[in-house]
Amino acid sequence: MKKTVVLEEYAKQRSKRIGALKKYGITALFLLPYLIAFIVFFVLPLFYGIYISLTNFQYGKPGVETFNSFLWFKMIFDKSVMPGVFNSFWLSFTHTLIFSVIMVPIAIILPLSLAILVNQKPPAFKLFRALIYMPSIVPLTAAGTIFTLLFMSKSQHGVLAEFFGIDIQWFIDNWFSFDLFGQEIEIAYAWIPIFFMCLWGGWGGNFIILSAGLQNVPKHLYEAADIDGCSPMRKIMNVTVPGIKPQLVLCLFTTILGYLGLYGQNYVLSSGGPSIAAIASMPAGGKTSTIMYFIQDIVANNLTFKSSLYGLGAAASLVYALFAGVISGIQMYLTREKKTGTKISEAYNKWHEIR
Amino acid sequence: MKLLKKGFIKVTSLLMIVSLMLGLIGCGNDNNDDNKNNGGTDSIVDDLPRDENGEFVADYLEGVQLNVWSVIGNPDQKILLELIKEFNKEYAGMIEIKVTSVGHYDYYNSLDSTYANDYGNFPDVCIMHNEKNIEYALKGYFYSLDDLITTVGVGIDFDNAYDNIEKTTIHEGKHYGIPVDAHGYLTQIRQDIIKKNGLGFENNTRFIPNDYDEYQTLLEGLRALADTGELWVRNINLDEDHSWYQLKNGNSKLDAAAVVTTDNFYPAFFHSQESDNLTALYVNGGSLLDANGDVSFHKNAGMTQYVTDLVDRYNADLYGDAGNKEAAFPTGQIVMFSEGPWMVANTYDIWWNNNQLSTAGKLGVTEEDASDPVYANPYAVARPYYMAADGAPTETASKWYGNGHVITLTKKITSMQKAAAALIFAEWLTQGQNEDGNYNLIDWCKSGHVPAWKNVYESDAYKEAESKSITLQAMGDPEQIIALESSQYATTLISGLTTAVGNVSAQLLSVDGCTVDKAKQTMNEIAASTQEALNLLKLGIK
Repeated sequence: MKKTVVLEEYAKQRSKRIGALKKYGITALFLLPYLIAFIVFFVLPLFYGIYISLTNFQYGKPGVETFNSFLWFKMIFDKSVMPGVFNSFWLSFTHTLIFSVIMVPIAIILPLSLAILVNQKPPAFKLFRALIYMPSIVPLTAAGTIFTLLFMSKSQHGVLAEFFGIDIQWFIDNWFSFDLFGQEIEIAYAWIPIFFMCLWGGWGGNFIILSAGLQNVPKHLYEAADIDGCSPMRKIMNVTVPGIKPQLVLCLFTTILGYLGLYGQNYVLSSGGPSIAAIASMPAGGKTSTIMYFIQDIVANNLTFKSSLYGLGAAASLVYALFAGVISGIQMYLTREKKTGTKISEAYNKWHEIR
Repeated sequence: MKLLKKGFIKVTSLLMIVSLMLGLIGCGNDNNDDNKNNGGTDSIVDDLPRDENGEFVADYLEGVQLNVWSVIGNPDQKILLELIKEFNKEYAGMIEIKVTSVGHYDYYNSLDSTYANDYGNFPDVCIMHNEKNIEYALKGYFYSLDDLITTVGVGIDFDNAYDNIEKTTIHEGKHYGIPVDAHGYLTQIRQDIIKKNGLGFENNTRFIPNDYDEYQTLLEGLRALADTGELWVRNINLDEDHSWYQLKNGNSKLDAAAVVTTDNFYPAFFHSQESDNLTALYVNGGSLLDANGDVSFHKNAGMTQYVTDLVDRYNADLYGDAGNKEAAFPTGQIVMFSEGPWMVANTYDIWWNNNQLSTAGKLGVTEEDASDPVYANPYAVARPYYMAADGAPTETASKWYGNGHVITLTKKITSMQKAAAALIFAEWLTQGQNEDGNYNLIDWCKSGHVPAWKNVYESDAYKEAESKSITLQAMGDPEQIIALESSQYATTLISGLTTAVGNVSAQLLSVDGCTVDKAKQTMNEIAASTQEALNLLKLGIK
């Protein structure tokens, strides 16, 4: 039986289809390059990484691996399976966490202070701005050379030893130790050059972002604060900081993730050492090893590990990603834009208008 | 509209899943054949050109190209390239070798990466270190060669190779490489300083120690004179002032950085070389692994003594962290240091036995200095000195560790013609003779290696070359070399041993220092950690 279509209805449907195609087709067209890149460089590696972490995958011999009953995850979470791996993973994890807890506030507060000072536009402030940002353009390896020369021992004519008589074996000596959950954590002096290199090379990026944010803080708020008799510190806390909150949140997000993934500075300065005898032959068996160092030792630095322990590297990467995700999530939640007071009604009105 | 939205999401999701599956299927390469780990030659197609009797005739080969990766760097790379040029000339139209020189630090990483990701560019032949031979053969990279040698009929008879060097190429009775040479690290010595200070042996007529005890006496004698400021030193760098001075007086003609003082002087430069550590292990009859395949380097009494000697015998006064050894040695800041033999003939001998030192009246060189053969040629080399502890087996006590190079055929070769060409090249380099009847390998050995082949070492031409080379004289008889025990985990084991010695040495430099007990504890802990690494690797490979 032939179907009868009313011309008007057909025209309406056709017009609807063309309209939708235009609207979503163009959207899809624009999305496609990104979508392809996203799938190829993120989704695919993520799922492939999960797959590798569940097998005895061997680098260079894909296709022969078999499921290994979560062995790599058991090694990471159960000490009895392989104590060396457990210890080195959680020790490098602890190093990362402690360093991040110390470093992140400093890496935000120092650039913020500098940005506020430069924003006062003192004489030659443009020069200061350039000088402060300059370390950020120095490549990591070059910065590593600079800091190595600074902290070399006296016999190697290190700058600090020669000019200030500081005769410490920065990359060998132990600084202090402490007990954490029954595990002795040895803190090496090598963390000091790493700290300074991170600070020196990292402050420029945050400084520029925060400086840009400061330009946009409404001037009338400062005038109002002046009229109200606010002290300079009060103005900073109650006007400046809230005014650059989006930039602060961005800096906090990138800085936390940056230091949780700390690797390059340790690699060029101390190669993860000095080694810890009990786990010296394990991935990240050094006193300045980080969680990223653990992963890199397996997938890049040690060819023997790379050949047969790729799955462990993938498992460690997933644990790290999960941890970084949780930390970032908490940070995003705590710094979210709270819709209180008039913001709730404004948001409702906006939604209502759109509707 | 909602339906369209849902459709869009569905299509996108489907696209992502399909891509994911395609990716999972497509990831990797095509080199995971079953033949990979057993060294079998089944995948080679027999396309050899043969005569009417069915015999392979090398002259029938035509235009076979071999892609060779060489680990050999400068200064001896130049000599290898010249030899290969000679080979290409001799076999023009038949075989052509294209060499890619890959630096020591990148070689094995590149080999792994190319194998995994770019198999098309994987080499046909590898010239590599012998201690890595079996490790990489068991990764499935190389063919075992015995059947191929028989099929091709090249004149490689392993009976002519030194067993002590050849053993690095053998696994379960099969050869995975053709040994080329061997070498150990040499001790560089400032014999002029020893003579000037009256610290030589046999009434100050011999300046190179013969054994460990003499070596130790020399270290302590130098330290004692340096501590009182009475040690005589001089700078032998080209164009600098060569006059003698005592540490307490200094030399005002030199730059401050080049002046040796009591504080910056060390009898020997401390540099923990893996070859030094392996020598200490092997001369005392130790091994990296025991019969059960467990880590055993820490169980050897001589090795333990070597590590504790670092604490209470050599100590930081005798071996010092003197900055750059190549800068410290010619100024007299150190009198001895360890370095590979390839640096001796082509570099150090030219730098430090320079003719300025035999020219009187210039740059502070006196008549006595110029006419004295020791002062005129102050630089000498010798084998390293290690004490064989009490109870060390006599058959190893006077020997030393040395590694070397091997030629391997990779699984990239799938044609018997290529395999034949590669074996012809290996034969030419190791056993081939030139127009004068001299082995080609002798030319290679002149760059600082002893041959892995008895017939080459025993030839008159080699003896003549040896008489002219301070490097070959210092290295001596290849029979005296102990090569690494063949192991799938060689890199991890060597790294464990080196880390153990390096960790103790680092503790000596630290503020807290190190004690004998702590040194022993460190070595045991690192051995245990190395054992755990082996267990881990075995789990990974399962």
